[in-house]
Amino acid sequence: MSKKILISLLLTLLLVTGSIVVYGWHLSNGVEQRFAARRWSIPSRVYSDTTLLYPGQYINRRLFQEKLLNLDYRKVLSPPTKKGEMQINAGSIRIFLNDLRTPWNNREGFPIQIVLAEGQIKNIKRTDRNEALSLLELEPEEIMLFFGPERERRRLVTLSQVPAHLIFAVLAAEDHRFYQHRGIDPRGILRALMTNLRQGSIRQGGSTLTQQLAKNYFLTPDRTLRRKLKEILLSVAIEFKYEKDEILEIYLNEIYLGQKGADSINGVGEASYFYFGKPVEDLSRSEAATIAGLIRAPNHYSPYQDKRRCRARRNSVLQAMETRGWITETELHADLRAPVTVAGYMVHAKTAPYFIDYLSEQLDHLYRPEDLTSLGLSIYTTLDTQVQKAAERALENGLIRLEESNPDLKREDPGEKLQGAIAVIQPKTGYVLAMVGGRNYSTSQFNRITQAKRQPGSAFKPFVYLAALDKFNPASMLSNETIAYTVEGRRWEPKNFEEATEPRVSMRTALKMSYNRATVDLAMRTGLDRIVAITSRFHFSTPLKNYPSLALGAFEVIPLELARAYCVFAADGVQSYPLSLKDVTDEAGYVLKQKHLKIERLISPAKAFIMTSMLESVVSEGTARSLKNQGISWPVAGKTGTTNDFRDAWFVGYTPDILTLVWVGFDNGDPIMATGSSAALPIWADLMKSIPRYISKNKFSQPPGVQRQTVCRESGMLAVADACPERLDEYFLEGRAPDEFCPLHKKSGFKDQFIKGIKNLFNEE
Amino acid sequence: MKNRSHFGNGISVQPTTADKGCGGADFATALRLSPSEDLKPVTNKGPGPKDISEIASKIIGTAVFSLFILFAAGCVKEIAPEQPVSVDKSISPEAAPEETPVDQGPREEASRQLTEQGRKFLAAGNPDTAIRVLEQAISIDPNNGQNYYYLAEAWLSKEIAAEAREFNRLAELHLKNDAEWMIRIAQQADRIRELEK
Repeated sequence: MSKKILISLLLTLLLVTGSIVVYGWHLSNGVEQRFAARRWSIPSRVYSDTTLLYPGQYINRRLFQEKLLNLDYRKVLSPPTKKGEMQINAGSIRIFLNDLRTPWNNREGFPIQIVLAEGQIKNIKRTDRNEALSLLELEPEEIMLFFGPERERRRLVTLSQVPAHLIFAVLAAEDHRFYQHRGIDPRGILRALMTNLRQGSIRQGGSTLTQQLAKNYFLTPDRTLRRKLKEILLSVAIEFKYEKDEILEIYLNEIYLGQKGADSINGVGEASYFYFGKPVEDLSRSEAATIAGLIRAPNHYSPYQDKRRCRARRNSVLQAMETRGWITETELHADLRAPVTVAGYMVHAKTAPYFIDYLSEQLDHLYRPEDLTSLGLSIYTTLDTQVQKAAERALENGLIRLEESNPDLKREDPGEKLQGAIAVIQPKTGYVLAMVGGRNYSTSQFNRITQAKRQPGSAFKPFVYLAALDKFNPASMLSNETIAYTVEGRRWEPKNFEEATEPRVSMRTALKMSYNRATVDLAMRTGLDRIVAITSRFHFSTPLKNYPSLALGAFEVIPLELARAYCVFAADGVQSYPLSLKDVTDEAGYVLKQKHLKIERLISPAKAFIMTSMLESVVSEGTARSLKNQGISWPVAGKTGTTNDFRDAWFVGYTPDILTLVWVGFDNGDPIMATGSSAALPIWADLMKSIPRYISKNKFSQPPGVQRQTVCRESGMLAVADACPERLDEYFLEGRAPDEFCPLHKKSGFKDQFIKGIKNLFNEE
Repeated sequence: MKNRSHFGNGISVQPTTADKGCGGADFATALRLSPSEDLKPVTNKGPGPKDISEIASKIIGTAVFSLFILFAAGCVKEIAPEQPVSVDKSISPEAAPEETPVDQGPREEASRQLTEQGRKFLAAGNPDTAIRVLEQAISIDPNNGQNYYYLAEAWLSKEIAAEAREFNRLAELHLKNDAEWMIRIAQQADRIRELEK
């Protein structure tokens, strides 16, 4: 009988061992899957553009200081001594720059001083070398992370990047026999057991690093015996499959080390930035001990929660390091005395959400969502956060102003409120500097710059005039009288906004005053087919029909496309592809994708200049002349736009350096009872005045192919001296200036001149 | 040289047609005494004889005098190498942008520094980074023709003729008054045409 018992015991043992081995093998396969190749989801980061600073540049001090704060520069009271610090004084700002790492520029941080006065940078000096700088590039802002559902922030490190003292600190704090045990540490467990028994509660886990990894693997924090056994099995499996160094490296990248708002801080790479604003390689001994001390309970020991507690924990880690012989007594005493100084952090509100959505659409063509949330890509964009902020504020203030001045525009439902949109583009590079797709992203994510289809109204007129430039010139006379057209058997009679207008006006006057009748006259004489042909080169994706109402913008456009089309006038006839994405790099900084400035010549520089000249008249004397009273005194070309029944108000205005489009309206098409110049123009002015860095105040430069002639205002033909009462200088395409003299005014004969001369003599006395 | 003459004594004259340079042939344009008058058509019957002789002698006298001044000042500009006009910005920053000559302000200097960086990247065989840096240079000073020239070079080295051609043309537009650069631009255009074949 004992034999039978023995056999059954043996069999049971075999079975149990067998199942344990099988289960262990199964677990270890899971480990392989989880820890091999792509081990973690590293979120991809989206960056704004870098900021270029130079002496003589006009800056908006408030926006600049906000930017510095967003870049996590922390204010100190004395001149900065470490990277990431800044001292703000009345007349100057001292900054110890962070490192700059972009695909096109890599430089170490160094200390600088920027002297400011009267809204201008006077000089920039590198203070460690007492060297004046004529140009400085400030690092880009992180504006967005593509998270997986876990919202884990993480920066991967290799073991070779981790300084020895951090490794020692972690081992001293958590598992000093890591390199000796085989996954579980019986001595550690025993000691923990004794401590727990003595204390009467679970105070020490006795877990090795490997066990902690195993625990993390299961994700749910059960604390049952069964779970404990599973962990032990898994730890053995991990030790079986991986080398000590590999396990350590995984551990250092996996470990949870704190919380930033809703996002968790994982791995020492991310923690060193979060707590100390520096890469892991640069951690000092005491900083390393601080991080190691956090592992036990990151939020309890966080220096952002309680510095004293943090310090106490850090010091106990340092003590443990000395006990193990990993640091000397001298080092220990020095480090114990060191204060805990942290980098500080800001949890930012969503930056430029509409721009991010627009960017995401483009990224969708390049990368799958799971790639974006896991591959840790760095995405560099064209966004200028200062312009973006200024645009958001200008829009909100402008819409509120409109609602205050006309209470009929107020709406209870946030989803029905008066809306607006702004796009800011650099015409010569195509860079999208800012995009505001609506008043409030959380209420409505609909991007009115890229998704809305609205009628441009008179904001479309410049394209009619452009098409006419082959036959007509700015001095050509157009009929501004009431004419009825028959369109598809129906009568159509365009009306001017103001009734009391001259019967004949020049092309320039018609555009600057936005006369509908004269514009339709021009359109019909130019030919609607021709207008459609020319305009279709401008990459409008919406259909253009050759009806007379085309001339008045009675069809739909996407605002971004309208802005792009105007860029052609601002950029000497060349259209750039609107660029929002610049570069994409992988985690190591290797460039995966680059998008460059791409241009296409649509019209000659001469035509672009003449259009710009006429659009300058819109601003100096025409429908946008109130800009002068809003503090805009430098050369601007632009066009107001108002649609029928006041459903849309537009202003598109540009300088040689920058173009901004503003639209105001209701999503449901309710009239806003305001024009482009009363609704959109003030928002444009507000914005432009807050971004002086982009205002060079330069004139539009005249290209070859343009000539200037004096013509008679009434006839548009060459002026006859002393005969034509009103003369003006006008621009013409070379060779297209009128070659005939004004037929309306004749030179007076000798007798009349003589009498006139005598009369003048008497008048002078 | 841009569409603006600048003389060493701080006088700035802006002809509305292309700048003809120091003491150039077309001093009537440079004079700009009275725009409508000096463009008046030749075929006039003429006012009374008394007015003409008075006016004529006045004009001729002023013209000769002004010509002398302009010649002297213009030639001084050529003989003495251009010094940056030091406008003391700490005194009148608002006036600075207009007074500072287009070629030599800090904005142009900053852009030039980037142009130089771009040129170096190009020489080092790194056209993509060069393009990125030149785009930055354009954003600061879109009138600097050299930026477009080097962009054309970058696209040439990437063997993309279409972009190279467009930038070459833009370079031509902005550097039309600089004979030395126009030669280089013409040579570049030849190389682009070669590539297009």
